[in-house]
Amino acid sequence: MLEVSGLSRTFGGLRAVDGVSFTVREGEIVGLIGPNGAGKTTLFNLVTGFLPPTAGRVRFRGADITRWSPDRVAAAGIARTFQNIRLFRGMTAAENVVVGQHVRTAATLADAVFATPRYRAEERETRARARELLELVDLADRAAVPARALAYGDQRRLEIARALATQPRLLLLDEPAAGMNTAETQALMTLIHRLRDERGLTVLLIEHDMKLVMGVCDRIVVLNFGRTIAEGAPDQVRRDPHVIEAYLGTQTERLREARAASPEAPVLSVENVTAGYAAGDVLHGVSLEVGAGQIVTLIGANGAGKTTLLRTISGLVRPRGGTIRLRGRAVGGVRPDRIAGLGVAHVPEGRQVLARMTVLDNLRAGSFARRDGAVEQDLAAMLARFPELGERRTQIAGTLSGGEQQMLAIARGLMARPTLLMLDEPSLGLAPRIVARIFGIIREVNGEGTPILLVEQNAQLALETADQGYVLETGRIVRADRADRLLGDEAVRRAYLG
Amino acid sequence: MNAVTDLYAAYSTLVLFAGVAALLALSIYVTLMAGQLSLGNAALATIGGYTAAILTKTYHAALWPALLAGAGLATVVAALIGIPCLRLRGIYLAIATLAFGEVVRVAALNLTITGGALGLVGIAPLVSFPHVYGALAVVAFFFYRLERSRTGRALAAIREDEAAAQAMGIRVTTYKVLAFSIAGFIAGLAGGLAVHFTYLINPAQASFGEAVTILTYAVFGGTGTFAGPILGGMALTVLPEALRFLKEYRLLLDGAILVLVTTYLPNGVLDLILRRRRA
Amino acid sequence: MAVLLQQLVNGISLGSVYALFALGFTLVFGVLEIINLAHPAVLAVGALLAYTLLVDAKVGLAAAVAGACVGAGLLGVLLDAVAFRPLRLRGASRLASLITSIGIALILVNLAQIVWGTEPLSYPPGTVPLRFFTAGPVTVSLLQCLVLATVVALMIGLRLLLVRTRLGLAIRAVAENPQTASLLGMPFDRVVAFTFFLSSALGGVAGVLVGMLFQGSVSPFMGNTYGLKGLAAIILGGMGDITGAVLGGLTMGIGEVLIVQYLNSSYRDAVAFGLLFLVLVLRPTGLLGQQRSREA
Repeated sequence: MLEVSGLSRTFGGLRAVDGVSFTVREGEIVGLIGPNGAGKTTLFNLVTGFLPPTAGRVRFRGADITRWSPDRVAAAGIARTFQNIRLFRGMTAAENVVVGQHVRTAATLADAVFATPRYRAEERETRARARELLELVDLADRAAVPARALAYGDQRRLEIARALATQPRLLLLDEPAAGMNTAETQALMTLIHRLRDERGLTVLLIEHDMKLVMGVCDRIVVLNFGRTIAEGAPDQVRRDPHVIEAYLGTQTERLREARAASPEAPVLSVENVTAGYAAGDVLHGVSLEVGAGQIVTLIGANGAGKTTLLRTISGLVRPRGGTIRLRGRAVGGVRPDRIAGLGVAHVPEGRQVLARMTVLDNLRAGSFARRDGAVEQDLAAMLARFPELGERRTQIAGTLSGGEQQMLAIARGLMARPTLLMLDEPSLGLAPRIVARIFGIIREVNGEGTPILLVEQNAQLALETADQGYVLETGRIVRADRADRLLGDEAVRRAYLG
Repeated sequence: MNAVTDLYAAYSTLVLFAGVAALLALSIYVTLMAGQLSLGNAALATIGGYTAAILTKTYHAALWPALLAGAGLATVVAALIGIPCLRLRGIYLAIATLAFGEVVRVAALNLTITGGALGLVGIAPLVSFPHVYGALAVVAFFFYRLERSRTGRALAAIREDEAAAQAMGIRVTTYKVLAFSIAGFIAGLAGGLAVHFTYLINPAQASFGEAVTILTYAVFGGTGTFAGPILGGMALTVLPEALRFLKEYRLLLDGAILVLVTTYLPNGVLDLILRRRRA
Repeated sequence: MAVLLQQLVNGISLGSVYALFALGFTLVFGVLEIINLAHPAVLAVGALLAYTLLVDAKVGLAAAVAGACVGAGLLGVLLDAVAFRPLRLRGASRLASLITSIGIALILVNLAQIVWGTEPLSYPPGTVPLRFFTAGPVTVSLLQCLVLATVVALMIGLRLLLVRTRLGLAIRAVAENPQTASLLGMPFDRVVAFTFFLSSALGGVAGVLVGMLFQGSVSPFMGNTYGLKGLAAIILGGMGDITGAVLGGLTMGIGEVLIVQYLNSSYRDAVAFGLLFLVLVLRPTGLLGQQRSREA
């Protein structure tokens, strides 16, 4: 039904999708998995016409749909949902599904103005179909609720109903289970099966929730760094060493002496914090602690809430419940620039260097919150410590390589002389050699006394580097222990790979 | 009965203006329905007005053919402008349409057929209450049906989320140009009607100030449903007359309305009234 | 050829004022991604403030310019606090900010009318002595030199501020990535307020310079044409780009002067806006601007 061959998409120097080929046969349910940034959503965008490929072809039911516009692709029979939910927020649930039927209905404006029989019949039909689809996804009782007011899980299901309204042959689901609890995920699995068994749909889905993927898919395709690294039946894939390595990282032999928590009061204390976004809570009663001089790591699958937790600590997200203490002082709900002033340096996901400014300016920006006079000295020291940055001090940050940008982001964080350094996925998208260098720096910095809270998807590396580890699964801490003890723990493996 | 007709005679022009303002507000509303802010409607109305005026004055055409010709030309121009503007969004679109408006104004200022800076005068008084309000009723009915149609839903979907609309198979480009064309027609019609009860037309009617005034009508009334712009257009035409003693402060009032409504009544006055009724 | 050179000189002089004005637009757009359509009204207020200082308070030119500069700047801060910040707090759309700025412009113009009347005013003759310098086929007036010198000085000052100071660093960081800037300890609202001060101060000075260049041009309505031209300048040069604003302004100035010279002057504005329309349609990010990606 769907045939992707040699599909590639490059953004500047980055190969987001690199020569991917696979097929989806009629009636199959295929899962597309891979670590963060592997290129999965980009692949969806390429297939559905939102992005033109830089190479390769897409064939759907024999036709070459490679450069078709999204509306043409939809008319041909491919429907999709979106990773970050793109419902028509001002419309009710029912209206959303009615709009979904646009491509299969034909009443013209003239029909509507003169209220012709065709118009009236079609309006009746579309409303009936909408009701039917809402019942299918268990939203019939919320048909008149505006989409923006629906609970998160409901919104995801509504998006599926809306996609179904286009009467597709192939349904592309982008993280349909994100933010759902166990019961909802179970219901979703049943729904997907029904769609295939009762309606003859073919499904291709991106998901991080391994229970769902392993439970519902006939076949799985695994992506990493834009390339397929494995393909096959769920059990096969789950045991594939390449896949395990992609998700968990490889064991290197360099364990370090785990440092026990010091008797002093913890630098950071997160107590029973609940937080999230308008769409719903992501963290449910999370507690963790970073002791003086420790490296604490927070690991867990994508979508577990790790980044949200860091953003809650640094003030970009307001906690809805619980307390956050920095050296004993409560900081929940305080503005991010004030929290930075208290010594928290948050190196965000994706590095976020100030791309249009020079390396020097980025480093200076890092010291913005400082009031002492030693900034210039520190600047010189930092450039000496990171020779790659020293050599490129007047270069525009956006032109640095990924590894150099990561170094810059960390150095920028260090320029604040932080009381707590928080790193969000420092290894993301970097080659193993560079990752080793970065983690060497992380150890060095900690060796000088800076406590570090490290969020990482590469569990192996994180646990080898840290003193203490916390495992986060759908917004809850499921394991907390010394890092070396977590290393071989099955719970960790299950949290990632189901 | 005499009192009413006397009252009407005194205020007839105002009432007609209110009707025209409602039409103009509806013309900006239709593009807003698709999420596009077009500030070119004053210019489109001016095109319609000049065309109709030239036809009735110089060629002694009958009223409705002239009006429809004016509206038709405005529609074509709007579609022609709409097509290159398809990829523009938000402020870029607003500025592009503003630039278009300026081009029209300067063209009107310089062409002989449009009478230069003085414009055209002595246009026949062919339009009265039934014409304006008849047209308004038809257009309002059209919007009533549009909002309940597949086309209307497609426009709303485009406004809410263009990418998602495309993923549903909606041909965004077609609908955007359609919205622009409808706007052109209504604005052109409004312009033609106005010319025939004010008896004159000049290039200043295509200026930035006029375009902003039309926007104010829509913002004030609210853009949730077609009744909002109608309310806004009429209210903002009548109110300043009622507050005529504040003439010196006209601009300030307009400005204050824009600021206050945008800040405190983001859904316009109509929404406020409706909510009060429900409560 | 001589005519061309002369017109180039005139064009640069005029264009530098457009550039100064355009800088104000671009600064605010950089940090907030909104077009402040009240900026032209601020230009007018600056010109009128200088008028009052020159005519009623009888101060010297430098003091009048400084007064207009600071006065306009403070007005800008007030506008941000009263009009834009509440919208930010509400999470309003950029369209809402645009509409509000239009409203503010109307209010300012009306207030200016009340204070200064509707008739166009002129700065007292002799404010700038009438002197001319000739170099070959080209004649430059003292006034033109002063205007250019003022603009150049302000631009250098702005550049130094942005590149060498802590505050300038904050403005650039916030313009680029407000969230990351917050994480680095930069207070968003205060940075925005200061940017408004800068933007409006520059606009105010631009108003005074226009008033000096053209007799009888100071009035509450003077902002209108400059508003559209300033917009055209930043669109040409790319919104949010400082160098672009300068180049855009110069292009507008030189282009305008040349069009008047060589083509029918009454079509001057139409040609300018026709060009603007084309630029928007063909290359919406401007001739120099960054490509902002629009993905699904």
